Amino acid sequence: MRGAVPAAVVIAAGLWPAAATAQETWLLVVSGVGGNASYRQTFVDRSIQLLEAAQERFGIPASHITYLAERIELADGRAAARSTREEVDAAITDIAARCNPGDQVLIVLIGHGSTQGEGGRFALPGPDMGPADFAPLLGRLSQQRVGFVNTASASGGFLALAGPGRVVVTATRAGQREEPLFGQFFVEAFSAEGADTDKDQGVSLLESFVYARTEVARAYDLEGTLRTENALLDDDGDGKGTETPEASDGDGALARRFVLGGVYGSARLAGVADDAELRSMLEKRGEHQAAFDHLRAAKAELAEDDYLTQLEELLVQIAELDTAIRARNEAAQ
Amino acid sequence: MKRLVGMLLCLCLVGATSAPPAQDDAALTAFRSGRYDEAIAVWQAALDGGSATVAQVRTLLQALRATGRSDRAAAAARAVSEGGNAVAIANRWGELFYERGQIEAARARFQLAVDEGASDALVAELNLAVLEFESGDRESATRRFNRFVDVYNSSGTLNAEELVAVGVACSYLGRENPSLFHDAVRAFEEAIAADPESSEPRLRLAELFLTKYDGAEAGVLIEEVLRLNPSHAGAHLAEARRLHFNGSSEAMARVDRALELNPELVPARVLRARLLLAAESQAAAEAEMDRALKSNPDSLEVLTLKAALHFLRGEQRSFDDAAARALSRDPNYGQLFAVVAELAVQNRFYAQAVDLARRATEIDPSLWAAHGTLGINLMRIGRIDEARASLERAFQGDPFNVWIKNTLDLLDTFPDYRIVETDRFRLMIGHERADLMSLYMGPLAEEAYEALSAKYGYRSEEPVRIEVYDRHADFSVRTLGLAGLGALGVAFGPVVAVDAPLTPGMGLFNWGSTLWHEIAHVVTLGVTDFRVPRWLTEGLSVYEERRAREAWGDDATPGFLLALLRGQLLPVSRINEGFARPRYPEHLGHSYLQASLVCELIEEDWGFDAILALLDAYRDGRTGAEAIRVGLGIEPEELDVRFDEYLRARYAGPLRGLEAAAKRPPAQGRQGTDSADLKALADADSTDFIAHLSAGAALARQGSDEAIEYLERAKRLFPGYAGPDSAYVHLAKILEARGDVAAAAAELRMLLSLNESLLPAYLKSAELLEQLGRTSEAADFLQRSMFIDPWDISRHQRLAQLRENLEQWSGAVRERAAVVALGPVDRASALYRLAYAHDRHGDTRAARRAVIAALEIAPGYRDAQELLLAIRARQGT
Repeated sequence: MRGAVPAAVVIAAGLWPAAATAQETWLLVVSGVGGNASYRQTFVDRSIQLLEAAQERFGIPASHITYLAERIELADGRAAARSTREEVDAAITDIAARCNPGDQVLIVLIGHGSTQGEGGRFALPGPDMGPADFAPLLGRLSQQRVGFVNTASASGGFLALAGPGRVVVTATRAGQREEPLFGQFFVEAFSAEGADTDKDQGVSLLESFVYARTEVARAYDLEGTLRTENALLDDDGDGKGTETPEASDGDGALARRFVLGGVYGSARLAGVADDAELRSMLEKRGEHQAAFDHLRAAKAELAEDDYLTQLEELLVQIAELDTAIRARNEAAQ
Repeated sequence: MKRLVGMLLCLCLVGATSAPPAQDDAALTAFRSGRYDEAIAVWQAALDGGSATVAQVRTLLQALRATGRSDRAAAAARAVSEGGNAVAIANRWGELFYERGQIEAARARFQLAVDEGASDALVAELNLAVLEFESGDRESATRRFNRFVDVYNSSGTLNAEELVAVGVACSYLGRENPSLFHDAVRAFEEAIAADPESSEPRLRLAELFLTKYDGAEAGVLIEEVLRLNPSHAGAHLAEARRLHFNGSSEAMARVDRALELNPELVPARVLRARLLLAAESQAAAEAEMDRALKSNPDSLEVLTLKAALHFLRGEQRSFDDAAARALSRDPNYGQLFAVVAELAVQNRFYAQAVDLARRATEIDPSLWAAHGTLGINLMRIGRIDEARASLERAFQGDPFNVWIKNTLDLLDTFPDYRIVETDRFRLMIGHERADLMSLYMGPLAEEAYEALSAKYGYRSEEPVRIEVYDRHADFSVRTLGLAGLGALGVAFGPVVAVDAPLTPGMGLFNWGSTLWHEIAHVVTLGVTDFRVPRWLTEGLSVYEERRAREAWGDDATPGFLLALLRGQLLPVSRINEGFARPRYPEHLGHSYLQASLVCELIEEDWGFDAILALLDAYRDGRTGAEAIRVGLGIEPEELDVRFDEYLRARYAGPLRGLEAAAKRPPAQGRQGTDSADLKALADADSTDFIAHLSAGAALARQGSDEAIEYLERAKRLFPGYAGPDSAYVHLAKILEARGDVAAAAAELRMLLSLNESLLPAYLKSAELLEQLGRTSEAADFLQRSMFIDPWDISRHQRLAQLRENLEQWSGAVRERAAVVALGPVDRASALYRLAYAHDRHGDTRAARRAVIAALEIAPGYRDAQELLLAIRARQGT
């Protein structure tokens, strides 16, 4: 990543025509009961780390971000309310009321889980919440793309929330009760370098999942201990989840398009609609991207030399066009 | 003559009367508990007095045979036979003839006992079958063995001796039908139940377990036999076999005990000779064979070892003659080639072992162990596909063979590996490790080969295969067929196997020096046609490690020098025993170091050409003593003396520093003792290295400034000691804590000039040097740390950055490639950084390839786009 992205336009992969439409991102972070001072602080710190990345790195407006914490006084003035069941309900209801169809809503739970009840529970001050409690709340976001991430232990049961237009991520399988490392690395994917593997200057849920999964495995390897957590992602709606989602099809395809920042960062789209030539260039760029995706999909059927020749030519065209777009954009600043 | 007449007279009475029952019971008890002389005296008296029964005479003959008095036993047998009891004594006499190699005489006696229906006719029938089997008449032998199955099934009243005969018959039949081994076990167990005080069935069962690789079960039974009869030579021999099977160096002592009890026990002489051959003591082995031949001039086992000796000495015609003689005795005796193959393996002649084992299986296709030897050694010379076929055949015939089973299981893991080819090597590396390891291992292997082949004048005709195992157990199976090997690498000639870096359970080791060591073996084995003795090839490998890189190759430790002071090290003329039969736990490691120091002495006093001359002498088939005379121009005994003087002069200071410790009980003066006591110990003797080091370490742990004084003194007393608890380590910690980073770095610098595998010290050193702005040195230490642990992606990133800062683009390329190889999450960035390093290094083609790979992942990646466009602009495309 080359620093922050002040430019109004970000060159990114995929869905270029859609880039011209304004799609908003909404974020709800819920940090649950810590149980002791150390965990309490860890969960708050991790939540704030995510909030800062969302706002500062990916340009999500503060008005689109809601934070609920176990203890408001520990949250550095960032928590809107306590993370009780009622407040969770209210926060989702509020987002549902304010967002537009086609927007994306990311809900992240940071805290402890338990295996109690059907599908497990996420520990909150007061009554805990299980998948059956979240299901009707998510039902209010049926017109939006929803990302639901439970970073707690024993969170696998929350895959029951899977459905059309939803990306559900759990830090563990159902029944894995050891405190997982996944949440730490999932948040790190948004706040640190390294997760933006396609260099679109945004981080998708797929990228963040793969980053966290890889770093969790590395951490266990370094410790020389057996891994006691297996994070899962489901976005094809079957509720089964997978540890190895793929961008191309099955679980992973939707998560790849659920991006914080990048082309969907609404703050970065300013100016595109007013510049016809820039729009034309972006449309051309979209065509190149489609050709690129097509070529990659055909890789297995092509001779290696043919593939590489075509690939290089296409990449050069993309690079030249991107350079021109950037130059035009910078000149307009 | 008078005595014989008397006996003849008396023997007319055999069977008519007997010794008094109480006296006979006592004699039998004495016999069974190993008080042979006591038993012999009673029965001999009965025999002389004409009152001996058939059973007593038979047991007397056993007692005489058990104590190595076969002449006397033969005389007694002859006398009894001539006294009109030929049938009664025929079987036992036949056994005596058979043991002495008088095959036809034995056959006649066994046949007589069978034909005339002697009371031990069933045992005689077994003996006849064994004789026929071992004389090449397998068909008739098998018919006879099969009869025992019928006898067992149709008779419910077999005595212990007969049940043992059934068990032995089933053991022979088991060669073709492994399920019959279970019947053999049952027969032996029933024999034990029928006569619980008898040693014979237990021993037979123990021997069966040993042939089926079950040393633990065998051990229990042997222990029971020795409890019944502590003087049972056969049981001591079985225990020696078990110890040898377990790889214990105590086998030789047990063989010696067996021979002490029965000097005529030919199988014990055979085992002793084999152990000596394995230890490359050919002259002593030959003497043992000659002693065995005096007892049995026609022993196939001894003839086999004679043939092996000729083979090992390169005396092809004599080998062929010996083989022909054995085959004329038994045309099916493929075992000769099987045994020579095994000894060839022990002397590292793997290719020849393949030919020998193949010939063994051609002569006797039921030699399953030989099929196994063939398969395992085909693997050792790199013919993997052929190996599998032989191993599968071996396992089909002998499903009890755990070595073969393990090796077949190992072969099943080979699809987890891939082959990376370099100019002279084929590296077999696990898929997940191959990209990274080939970056480091390929160039190092090429460098080692280039340096060593030029120095020793040897080039392998075929590419050298290096197998890098992810799991130590697999490496161990590749080497031994079993898990549990303590080594890290092995060379079979042009095939090398090593543990992958940071293999679980093997601690921190330097894989670079290990690889160099093994490639040195490839060269020294190759240049001598595999005739270099173990001590010299190991010594040269360590010696060459030292010349390859700073700190590589072991140097003297306090333990080694204490062994010298305590007289535990063997002279050069017997140094091979330290490899073949180490006498104390550290002896093997000490032998490696000692052998390398012999090489250092030779180079210093005679020059490196003397080492080459020594190798030439071995290649030409000279014995150890001859090679020393030819290569160095002195007698072996003189080399012993000179080496001892050399060691004592080279380590004079440290030896003085260890004299006090050598006289102390082991626990005193070690870490863990109270620091005041340690200080007192050190203050009492300013030359006591251990006391000063221990006192310094204890004081350092307490944070006392006094530590420095003791540690500095320890350093002066033994500056070459660089273990993880050395003075350098403690001083570096103290100095860093005091903020004296430069001094701490200097201590670590000294430490790392001596120790090749202290990963934390390498990392700490790099960190301190970076703090001091000594980037180039920091990068070098990080680079060296990769020879211990190359798997840490962040360390490669850090080293790559340092190389880039230093504009060392070749090193930067390798490290950036390492990052890519380790599978970073952000692969596009890693590929771009690699492309950038390639570009700066001047390799535009590689840069272009890498940047396209980056853009293939992330086509909008601005930095990569700019690099691609810049490259194309420069190239005018």
